Amino acid sequence: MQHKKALAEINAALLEQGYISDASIAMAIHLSRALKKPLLIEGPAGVGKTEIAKVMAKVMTTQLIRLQCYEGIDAPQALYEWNYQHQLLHLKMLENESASIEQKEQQLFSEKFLQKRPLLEALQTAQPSVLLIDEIDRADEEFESFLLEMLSDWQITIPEIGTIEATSIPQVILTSNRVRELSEALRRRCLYLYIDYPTFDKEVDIVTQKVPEINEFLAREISAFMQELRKMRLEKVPGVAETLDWATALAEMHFDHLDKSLVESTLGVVLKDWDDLRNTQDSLSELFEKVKVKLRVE
Amino acid sequence: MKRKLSIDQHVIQFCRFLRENGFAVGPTEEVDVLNALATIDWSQSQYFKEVLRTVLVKNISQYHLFDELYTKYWRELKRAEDSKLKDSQERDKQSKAKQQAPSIEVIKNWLHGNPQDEIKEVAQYSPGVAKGKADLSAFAEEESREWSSVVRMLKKQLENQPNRRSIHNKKPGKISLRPLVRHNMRKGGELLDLYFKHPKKQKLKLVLLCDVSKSMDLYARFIIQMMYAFQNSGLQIETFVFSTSLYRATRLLKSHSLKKALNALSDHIEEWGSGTRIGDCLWEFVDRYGRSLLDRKTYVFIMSDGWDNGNAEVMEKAMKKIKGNSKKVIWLNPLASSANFAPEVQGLQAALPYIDALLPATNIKDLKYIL
Ligand SMILES: Nc1ncnc2c1ncn2[C@@H]1O[C@H](COP(=O)(O)OP(=O)(O)OP(=O)(O)O)[C@@H](O)[C@H]1O
Ligand SMILES: [Mg+2]
Repeated sequence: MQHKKALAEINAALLEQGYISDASIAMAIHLSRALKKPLLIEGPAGVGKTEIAKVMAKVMTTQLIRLQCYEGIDAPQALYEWNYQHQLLHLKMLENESASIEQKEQQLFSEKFLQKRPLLEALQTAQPSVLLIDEIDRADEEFESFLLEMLSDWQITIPEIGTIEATSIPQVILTSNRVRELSEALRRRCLYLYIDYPTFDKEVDIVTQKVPEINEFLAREISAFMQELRKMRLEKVPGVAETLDWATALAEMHFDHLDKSLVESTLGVVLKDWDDLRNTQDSLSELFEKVKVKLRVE
Repeated sequence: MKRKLSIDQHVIQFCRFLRENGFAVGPTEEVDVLNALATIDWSQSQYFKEVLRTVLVKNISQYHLFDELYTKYWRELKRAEDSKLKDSQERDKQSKAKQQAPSIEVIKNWLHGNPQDEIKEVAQYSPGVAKGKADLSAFAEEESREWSSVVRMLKKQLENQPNRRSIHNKKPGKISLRPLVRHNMRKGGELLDLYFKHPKKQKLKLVLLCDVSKSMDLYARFIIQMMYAFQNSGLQIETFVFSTSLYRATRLLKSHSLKKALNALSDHIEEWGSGTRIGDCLWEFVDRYGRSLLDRKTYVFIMSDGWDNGNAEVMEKAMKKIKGNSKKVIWLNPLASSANFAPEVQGLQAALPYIDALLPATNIKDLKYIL
């Protein structure tokens, strides 16, 4: 069957872009394209949620348009904004003209003074883009329902200009760290992908992929160490980003294996919380034992 | 004779099964699954499962439940096929009844306990209700009114905090450009009326953590009513219960009647009235839900007597984290209302530095008084 290839192709294309995928990720990407549904990705910090959108845009050889959400973001900020400064200037210039209010209004609220923001931009590309709505959980419910409406109508109304319909419908990816629970309605509109911290094997693959100069044994040691570290009670659990920072630093210094003093002096790259750092330093011998066992099993 | 179901029928039946287990799966999702299956070679069973998961799971708790339910579906189907239909139906019925009976007993025991009578009078909101016979599911009308007034008061008290979202009007403040342009244009370009931004009132967020261990059984009625009233108040609130482990009760409490909520609670929570490991449970909360539920706008209420047979260090660590990531931590302690109360309990001692307020609460009057 031709479709059978679809998943393998997605995996290969992601790998080509340096992204280590797995069955769930490939399936989620495939189905969100096939069913034309937005993909909602949740998971802890630094597990590669945002990266998926970036890589997907490359795989589809299309443009990535990113809307970064934040507390207090509202519809105009995401869609368009009138260029108030220019409008005010223009208004001053019109002062002595005899044009009617209606005429002035038409001049002021024309596309000339319209600044496109990511959402409007994504509706008006020639070719469907990948629209990344990053960290949607930071926006409030009001904004969420506005988004929901846009995701089903694919048109927006600018009061002064009228309704603008999408010229192309983007492939939408939403990410969330679950700062706030998203509404049931939005969830049902999307396909869902949960990305957890990587398994040992996946993490080894990511490290060797992203830090090619690293020695294979060190990559395995680092990954095993990270796996054990995440089992501890930490204030701030390190993600893949931290693993990669650490691996890069160690590889650059040409180390080929971990030892206690090396970990002691470089652990700050991985643990950003002072208490975590201190507690881990205290139980380093224990941790090393576990890493050894882990490596023997794997 | 086995009657094999077609794949479509399986999908429909599995969707129904998920629905019974709290998934919001409707016709849209069923159609999505069928469309999705058409795009993939699902003869490999792992692909079939992956398609169902990707289309039908909508949040993290469903994600964690899915594997189990999927296995269960096929297992039960097999069982039904293996034996005569009638047989299996009967067995099903029986096992269901058996499952429910003991857990309701457990919660009832916890609810009524066997405390000394005089303390019980203090603990119950309305002493007139006969001990042990009180039908807790009948949420007396007067009580329910009182509860809504408590929740309203609480809402009012907590809600008056400004935040970053703005309201535009003419009261002096930070100048707001959008209305400025729109309105002054009508005046022909002179900047006559200035418009200003004003902070908007903040949305309340609450987390309620309730101790339902043995030592709390005196206050059972109060706790359950409190959880129910809060959860159904329209506030943005998450409710957890704990004894030796933690359980997220939010979904179970959202119900049209207290009785239904009570049944749901007793069906799902097995550890009513057991020992307490507050520290570990609070840590579990921080670890699993802290990042998603706590922020600087969240008020955390902990309802517990502080009796802990766990590790005080873990308790301190958890409390520190909760305190650091929320707006205020309020500890409601039933013991605090007695005259000679001193927070000497070890668990409470460890928590004390991270509490903004330690308040007595054994009944609704206490709560009103506090507010
Ligand atoms: N599977 C993977 N393959 C390759 N690189 C990965 C993978 N997962 C994560 N990374 C790398 O880890 C880093 C963090 O990823 P990303 O920024 O996408 O995380 P995130 O989940 O969006 O985090 P946050 O929640 O903090 O936004 C990136 O540099 C990314 O390249
Ligand atoms: Mg991200």
